[in-house]
Parts: sequence; structure tokens; C-alpha cells
Amino acid sequence: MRIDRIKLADFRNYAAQEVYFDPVCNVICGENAQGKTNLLEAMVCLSTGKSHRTRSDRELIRFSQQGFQLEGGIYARNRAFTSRIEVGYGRKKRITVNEVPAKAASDLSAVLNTVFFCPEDLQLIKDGAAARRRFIDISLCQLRPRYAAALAEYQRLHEHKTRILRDCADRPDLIATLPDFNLRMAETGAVLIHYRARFVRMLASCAAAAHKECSGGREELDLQYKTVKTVSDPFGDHKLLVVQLLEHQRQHHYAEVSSRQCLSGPHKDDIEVLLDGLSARSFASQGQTRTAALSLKLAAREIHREIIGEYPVLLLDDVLSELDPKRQEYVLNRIGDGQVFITCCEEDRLHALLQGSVYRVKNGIVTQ
Amino acid sequence: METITITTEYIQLQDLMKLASMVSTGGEAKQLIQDGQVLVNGEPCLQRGRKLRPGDAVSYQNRTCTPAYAD
Repeated sequence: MRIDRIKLADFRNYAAQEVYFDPVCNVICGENAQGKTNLLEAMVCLSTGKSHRTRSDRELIRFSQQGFQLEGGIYARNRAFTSRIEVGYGRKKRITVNEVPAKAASDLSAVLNTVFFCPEDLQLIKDGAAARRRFIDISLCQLRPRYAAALAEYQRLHEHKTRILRDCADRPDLIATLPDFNLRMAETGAVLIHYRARFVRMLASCAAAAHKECSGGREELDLQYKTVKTVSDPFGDHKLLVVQLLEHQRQHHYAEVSSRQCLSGPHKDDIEVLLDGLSARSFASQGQTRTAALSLKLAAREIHREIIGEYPVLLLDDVLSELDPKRQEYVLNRIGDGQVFITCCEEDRLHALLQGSVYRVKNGIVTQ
Repeated sequence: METITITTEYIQLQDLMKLASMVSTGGEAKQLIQDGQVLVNGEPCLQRGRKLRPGDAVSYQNRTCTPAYAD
């Protein structure tokens, strides 16, 4: 799959811009704060329906404007698609694919899949569990619409339950509704665990191979999925998972009410990264964690290809400048098939090395 | 019994028949379902938009299919 064309109107610092891209390699260069990342962010939006860097769509609107429009010309599954997102102008957010209104953001990911890689991702291993959950959520939401639906419902339930627990001192009557929330959270939570366990297993085998190659065969990488304690087997039957999740909620009921926090459920999941059997988070060196993060990201790309049958669009945001020459070469060799977008600064000579179409970004204007 | 893998929460009867290649067009599925020739869980089903989840079985002629969630 590839992005042939993108059109932005009042998105971030772009007023009105239409760009046509190369089917293989695109190098986007420009000085700092000119809009390189914003261009990649627009592509992520077209595949997931939201931005990876903000919580609110309003932040994506150009300053002092009422709304933004994004349009992408995408070639996938051997045909052309046009995806469009419109936010603001005093209306509800509108998403269309080939002029047909989309019911959910997952309709966008049925057309376009992206794997986005930015310098912060190199901290994936050292960061808290939330960063690793976000990493698997982004991939799984694109690959499994049922997961995306369950995650959206779970997050909404989690928010409501937190609100109930927080306000239950003033409104003791709210506590009576808690069992209903608990049951539905266990049901959707079980769906999340089902997919996460399988995804981590796939990721582990792909990442181990990538890591072995990148570290010159010296290190073994392994991943372990950590979920709610009472779950005996995350690959187990859905009904059994629900029972076990309810059991954990029951045990933590008093703790939840007294601490006024939602303590039980898969929103606390983690993936533990092991290097040669040791926890990478505690013991790995700076270089090792970077290599491991790199392996995870490239493994995600392989999984997309295995499931969808096409390589997703790879977006590399300023990553190469953060890597040493050996790892740079490794990433570049791995790109192979599929379309790639790379951003870099004007000064470095990377774009000479890459042999792709070069685009220059200056103050929200793209020139070829 | 054949297993048809789906990635969504449920699949509609007419869509499952197409996905399983029981019919070649949606119109064909509509006709057959309205004629009562398609069985869901052993009984004729006239709703072509019937939501099917794992555990439901669709029979037409000598084929029986059931949806299953993808891993």
C-alpha cells in the first residue's frame, strides 16, 4: 500500500497544500519547526483517525482557524481510495472513504496502515508500561477492528468507573451502578487480553529474529505479556477470562472504594522485554534498549505485512539522525519493499544517501 | 463444518455467504435467503442482515459454515 497524494487545509501550520509522492522512497527535509513532523502526523491521522501526539483534535487546527480538512489519495488492495477527515467548522468530525461516510475510525485503517517511528520511541523499553501498551494498541487497532471497538468501549467504561469511585463520597447512590460497569469491563477486558496475548506472541517471534540480526547474534530478546494476576492463561476461553477478571475485581473491591481509583483490569497490562533472560527495563544499556526498541518497531511492520499481505507505509521521523551508522544501515537495509517517508534536517547528507524524491519544507510550504 | 475467519465483532448473514463463496453476488444471497433456502442453526432464516457470531452455523445446500474470530 502507498500514499500517492495528500491534501491539507488548515492542518497544523499548513494553510493549503497538496503534495504528490514517490511510490518508494520520500525524503522530507527542512529546518526545525517548519512542519516536517506535521506532514507525517497527517498520514498517521489518515490511517488511525486521530493523532498520535495529541488527545484532542482541536489542537490539529491551524491557529486562528475554525477547522481542518485532510485528504489522502491511497493505493491499496490493487485499487485507489480517497480518505478524508474533516474536523471543526462547528460540526461533528466527519470521516469518509471514497465519499462514503465511515462509521468508525477503523474504516480508515481498513484502507491505510502506517508504522510510525519517532525518536521518543527509542525510549519504549525504559518508559512506563503505558508507552508499551500504546505501542501494541496502535498496531492492533489498525489490524483488528474488533479490538479497536473493544478498546474504545473499555476506555469509556474505565473513565466512567473512575468518576463513580471519585465522586462516591458525595453521591453514595452511584456505587449501586458499579457491578454493571464491572461486568461490562470484564467482558470487553477479556477481548483485549485475548488479542494482546496473541499479538505479543507474534511480536516476540518477529522481534527476536530482528534483534538477533541487529545485535550480530549476540543477544536473545524475549517478550512476556503481563496481565491481571488472576488470569491463569491469557490464551484461554473468553468465558473463563471474564470469570477470572470478575474474581480480581471482587478481591480489589474494598481497595478500589477506599483509594477511589480503578485498580483492577487490563488497563494496567505490561509487556516485559527480556534480553538474555534479564529485564531490559532494569538492566539493559542505552544502546541495548535502542536496538530492542528498533526490533519491536520493525517486527510490528512484519506482522502488518503477514496479516494484511502488504507492507504498511513506514514513517521515520528524524530517527536516523539519532542512531549510529551501524544501526542506520541496518534500518535502511530492512526497508526493502513498501513505501517509506523519512524526515531529516537540511544539514545532514542523508538525502543524498537515500536516493528518493526529496521534498523541502519551509514554514508550512512543501516544494519538490 | 467450515470455519470462516472474521476480524469484526459480528458478520451479517448475506456477507458471510459471500465471504464463504456460497454465492457469487449479494443479490443472489438475498434471493436465496428470502426463498427460505438458507438455514441458521438448523432453522430457515429470512433476515439477510441477521448478525452472526462464533457459535452460529449457516447451512445452504450441502455446506455448513460458522464464523470464528481471527487471532
